Amino acid sequence: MKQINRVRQNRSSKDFACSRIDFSQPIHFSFNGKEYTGVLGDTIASALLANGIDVVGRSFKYGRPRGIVTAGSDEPNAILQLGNCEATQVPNVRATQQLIFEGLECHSTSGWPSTRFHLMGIFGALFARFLPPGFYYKTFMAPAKWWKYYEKWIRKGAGLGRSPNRADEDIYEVINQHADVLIVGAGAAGLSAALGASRMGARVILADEQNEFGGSLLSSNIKINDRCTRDWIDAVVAELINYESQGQLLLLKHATVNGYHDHNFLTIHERCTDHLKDKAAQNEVRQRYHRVRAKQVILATGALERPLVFANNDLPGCMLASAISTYINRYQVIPGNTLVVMTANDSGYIAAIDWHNAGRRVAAVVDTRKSHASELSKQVKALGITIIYQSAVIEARRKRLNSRVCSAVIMSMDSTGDAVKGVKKLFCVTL
Amino acid sequence: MFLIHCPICNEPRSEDEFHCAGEGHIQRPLDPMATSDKEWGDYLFFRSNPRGTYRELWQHTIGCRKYFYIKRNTETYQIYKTYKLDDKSERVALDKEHSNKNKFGDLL
Repeated sequence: MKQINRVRQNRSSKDFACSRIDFSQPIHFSFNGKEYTGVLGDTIASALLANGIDVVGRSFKYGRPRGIVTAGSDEPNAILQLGNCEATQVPNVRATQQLIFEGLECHSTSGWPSTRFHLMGIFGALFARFLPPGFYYKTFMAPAKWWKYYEKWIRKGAGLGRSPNRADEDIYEVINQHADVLIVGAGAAGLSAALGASRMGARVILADEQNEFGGSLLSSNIKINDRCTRDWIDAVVAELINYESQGQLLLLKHATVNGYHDHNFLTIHERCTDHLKDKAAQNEVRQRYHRVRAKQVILATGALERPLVFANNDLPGCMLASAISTYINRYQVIPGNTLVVMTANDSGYIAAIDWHNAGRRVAAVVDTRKSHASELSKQVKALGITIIYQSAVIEARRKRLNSRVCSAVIMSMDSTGDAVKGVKKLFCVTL
Repeated sequence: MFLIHCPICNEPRSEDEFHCAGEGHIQRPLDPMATSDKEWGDYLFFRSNPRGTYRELWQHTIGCRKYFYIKRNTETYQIYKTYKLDDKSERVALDKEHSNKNKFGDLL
């Protein structure tokens, strides 16, 4: 299938100077039994968006269609079952964190008989009014003697993922570490801290959950000392690798720090081969658990964007503004045709600029603030993008039951922001 | 997980290597036959379980196997000090705390 949402420009082009993908190396993988093509550096999520896939899962209760919302570990919807054979099944992996490799097989964890045509979705839409919040499908347990007949049908409609029914053949290990400084997160702050501490001669561990160092810089188009972020990251990482070869520094990619215990004891979960192959080679460790005792801990974890609340904000096509910037700048994927941005601060403007520069239309930026003059809003205006102040998106609409968002309903707010008046409708594909 | 400085080995070690033996500085009645049932019950079963400073007896089970005391905060998990059994300074401090408590009751 063609990658309809991919911008085919090489790295030398000005707008995609910080792209982290390599077009010369196409990678084939399958999603829900269908073959797709991505490129080296793609996550499953970015490859699926490039191929124009909207629906990746179903909501737990009503079976509403769900699309990719974020570009990182905060993804709530794109939760997949991975594995080419029974022994390597991994349930509930976030598509936004898993890199694609040749021959990767993944499936949606929710949705039966399929994610696209979904029995529960129809059921949920028809009977939603009879299913109050807190309703649990085990209510069907009574009368008890019928349970054995309909249990298997309800089980198919419920739950996320499945556990493998063969033993895992891979090797996993636990390792104890000691460090003067442990740095959690390798964005701009984490990398700078690692560099500073290493130069002073400290023993440092730098752990980051992503597949490469750089954190939010990887998805940003900004300049550092008049050079693009990629150059800065490469220069810093090169110096850090030099310290690593002297045995003074440990660089951990694909490593999530998952616990901060008493007296600076931290645990790190490192995924060594998950991004490369389905099953680790013989005598190769698949995942490693680090138990670290550190003298100093630096938390450079960054921040997560919070989604805005409006009706139907769970429709496929509604995404976080930061995720849109990430997909455009890092993966050269534009997840839609026309964009409406709703924002309460300046970060939404960046997404609008990125979208516009990638060559697709921005219908409007909807800002909840009264009026605002900043460097970014001037840039947005200069690009000819409409800014609607003191307004909010109150609803996202779709055409059919399973389709993605097609329009946004916008209303202006009164001075206190408590009430809305007037209706305006805009058409968009991504919000 | 605690990082405990063993005063005998004179080294910080992980909590894995230690075993906690309960509240420290509990004195056995000198004449058991002469104590009332209540005093004997207090000695055997009742512990102070405070929120704040606490003195505990620990053993370095996978190490020197010696007992020693830890003075720590049960709220913040901060370890103020570890000291050997023959260190009398904390015993004196503890007695002072007890006598203050008897004097001022629950105000402290």
